[in-house]
Amino acid sequence: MKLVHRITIRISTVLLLLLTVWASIFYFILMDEINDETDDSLEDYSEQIITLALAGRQLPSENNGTNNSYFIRPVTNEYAAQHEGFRYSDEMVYIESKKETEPARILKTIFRNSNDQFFELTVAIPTIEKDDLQETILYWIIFLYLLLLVSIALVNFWILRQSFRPLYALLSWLRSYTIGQKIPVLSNSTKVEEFKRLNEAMLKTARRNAEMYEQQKLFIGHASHEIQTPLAVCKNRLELLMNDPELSEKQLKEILKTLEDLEHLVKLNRTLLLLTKIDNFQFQDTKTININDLTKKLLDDFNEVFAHQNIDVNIEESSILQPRMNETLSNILIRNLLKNAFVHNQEYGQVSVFIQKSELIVENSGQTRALPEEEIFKRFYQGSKKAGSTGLGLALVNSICKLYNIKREYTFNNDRHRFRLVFPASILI
Amino acid sequence: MKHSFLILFCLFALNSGVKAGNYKMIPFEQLPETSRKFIKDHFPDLKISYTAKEVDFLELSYKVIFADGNKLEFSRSGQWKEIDFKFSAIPPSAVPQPILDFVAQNHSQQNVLEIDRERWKTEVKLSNEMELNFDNDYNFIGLDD
Repeated sequence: MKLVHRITIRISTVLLLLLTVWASIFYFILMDEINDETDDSLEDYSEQIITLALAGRQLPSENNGTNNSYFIRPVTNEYAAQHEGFRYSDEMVYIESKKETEPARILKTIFRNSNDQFFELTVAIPTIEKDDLQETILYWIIFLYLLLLVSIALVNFWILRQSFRPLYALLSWLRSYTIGQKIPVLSNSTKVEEFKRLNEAMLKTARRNAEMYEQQKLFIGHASHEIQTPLAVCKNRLELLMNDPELSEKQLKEILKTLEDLEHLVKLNRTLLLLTKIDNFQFQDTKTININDLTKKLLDDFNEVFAHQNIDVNIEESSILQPRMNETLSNILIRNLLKNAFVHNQEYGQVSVFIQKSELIVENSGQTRALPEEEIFKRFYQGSKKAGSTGLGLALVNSICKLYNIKREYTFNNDRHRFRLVFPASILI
Repeated sequence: MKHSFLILFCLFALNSGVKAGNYKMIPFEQLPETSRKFIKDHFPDLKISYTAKEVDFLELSYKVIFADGNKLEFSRSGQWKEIDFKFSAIPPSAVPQPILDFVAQNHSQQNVLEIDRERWKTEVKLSNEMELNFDNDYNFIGLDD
């Protein structure tokens, strides 16, 4: 749920309640006022007739076109004493001029003339118009109430969306930025102080992250580079030491083992250096690579190396796969993918390679359980330790795939590990 | 917000409380002291037909109808608001002296029938249907159209 929606819904809910209360109160006050006005005009009418009657003047005629009616009758002193001076009531009244019975508001007033005689004046005003008016007002209030509610909700929504625009711009900028890549330009001009500060803070964080990421990369690179020379020196020294004729058989064996470990260390270091170089985009020059030829050549090499394992190798080419990429990197990519298939295989296992227009699939037997897809492409992931494996092979594959936007997939099916590379159209010839 | 609603509701309740008529007959004795004195001073001989109290929302006023059809209206405090003697003439003693002087000077043949004290001015109606306007200090400000 978006913030704008949530705020709009909340405000609308509160307004719905408030406006309902407001509209009902308004309606009842208005109705009351209309009733009041009717009574006021009744009172005026009554007073007018009474004063005219008391003064002995001509009373207004019954047919004066207003549908108001009145009559005066003398009452006894007892009646006057027992009844209220003003009595209001709602009754049905027969209107002479219309020859119809209609609802009317009635006021009865008792008054006294100069001879102490009591009279009762009854005045009636039809309320049909008043009822019509009240009905119309009710409809209008309901209509205006709904209109007000809808317009407030809409205006609210619109204003909120406008106001939150910088926030959404910032969010989409944040989404477009991935660490390790160039920081995209944040064009989010706003006059709102909070958003300004947020923009600045986000930019600062992004820059700091990028810097730290860069430093870390550099550190690994530098460290690997610096370790190379001492490693080579160590190797040389040990080799020199091995020439010493005074060494016993046992000592020689130990030195050889150490040399092997050193060799592993050198390889590890070289691979790390390579990884750093790939991540730093140091392999810029590209040419068209024939993956088919490359794969076949490398398969022959591995076949020889792993001949003792009697691995059954076959290759199926349905098309020529020719991407444009760096020669060294393409070599590393295919070599590591194939090496992985051989190293983690078993005796009398199989390696199958399928090459299509934009896909390279390498399948191999091996461990009879699936490997975690996201883990195997990380550095130093090793399911089961194998001699001569650095744990960096698939990490290299991953880095190169990332560099060229090659989609890499790992699936486990029918006891076969299946690595699939899908080359993007942009680098295919 | 809650408070304003409460106030509105109270007003509403109050208003509907006086419903079913704003008029109520009251005995002469329930008029404010000032009003009774005014009547006794200026209209001692007139018979009263009825005396009423009118409550209109927050306003309160009193009405006195004489048996000859003339009437008086008083404010809450008992000061007269309207003297309506259109069926005869207002006894000169009840008319404020400046108005009386002005009428005697300018309209000597006419009687004062009605005086209506409004918020910003006082309206005077003469027996020739002429309407004069005075300010609150009874200075003549013009004729009514």
